[in-house]
Amino acid sequence: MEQPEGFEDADWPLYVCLLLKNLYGLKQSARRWNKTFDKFAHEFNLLPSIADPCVYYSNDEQHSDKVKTILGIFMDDGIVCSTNAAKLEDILQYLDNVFKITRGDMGYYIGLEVYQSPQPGIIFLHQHMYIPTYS
Amino acid sequence: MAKEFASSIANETWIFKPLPEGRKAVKCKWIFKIRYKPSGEVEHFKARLVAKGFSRVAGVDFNETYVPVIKYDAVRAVFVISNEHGMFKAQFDICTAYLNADLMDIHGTT
Repeated sequence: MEQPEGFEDADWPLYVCLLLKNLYGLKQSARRWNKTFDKFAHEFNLLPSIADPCVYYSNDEQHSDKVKTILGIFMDDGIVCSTNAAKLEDILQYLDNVFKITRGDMGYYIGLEVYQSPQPGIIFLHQHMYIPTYS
Repeated sequence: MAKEFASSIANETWIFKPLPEGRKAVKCKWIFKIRYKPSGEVEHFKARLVAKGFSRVAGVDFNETYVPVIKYDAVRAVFVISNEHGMFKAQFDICTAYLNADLMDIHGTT
């Protein structure tokens, strides 16, 4: 790649940049990122589901509590669910160490609005905010 | 902009090399955006360096570009399963996700 405008190297103005890391705008950017995340998931013992490669799960049978964990990822937006709160924290902490993350509340995920009823076991998904956009 | 450039250096995004003969360097440009608060106030100015990847040729400059994304059915299924098992849930967003990836894998293909 050419040297970025305004930051040309004074000693080597004719040199170019050999890209080692991903940059926005490349054809392969999205795939490279997905590969990186996939590697991370495997390190955490999360396996991709056969039904959808963006859903990872682990079923820790050895663990006395039989911890189940699911993770969904849409490019850079993810959800994690686990039967064990500590495990959930673990994953988020590790993600933050490796990639830097911002945590949101569970109210909104890739265009879906998520309403969790105070009554346990009830989740309501809707896309109410799209209605004004289309009418 | 200086911050973004500094992070590229810190990240070891690239190294300086002479251009191999007969090859062309990808152009790049700075994209500037102003982020507004919902109230209309300026939140911050944002600069991002993007490569003009459209000049690249498949099979020569890069190979695979396919990338899976989650199906909405799967998202709903995740919610259902997490509900059934009474799981704790969290949502997260990875900052400048793309910049974390290496461009080359061990085989040197991109």
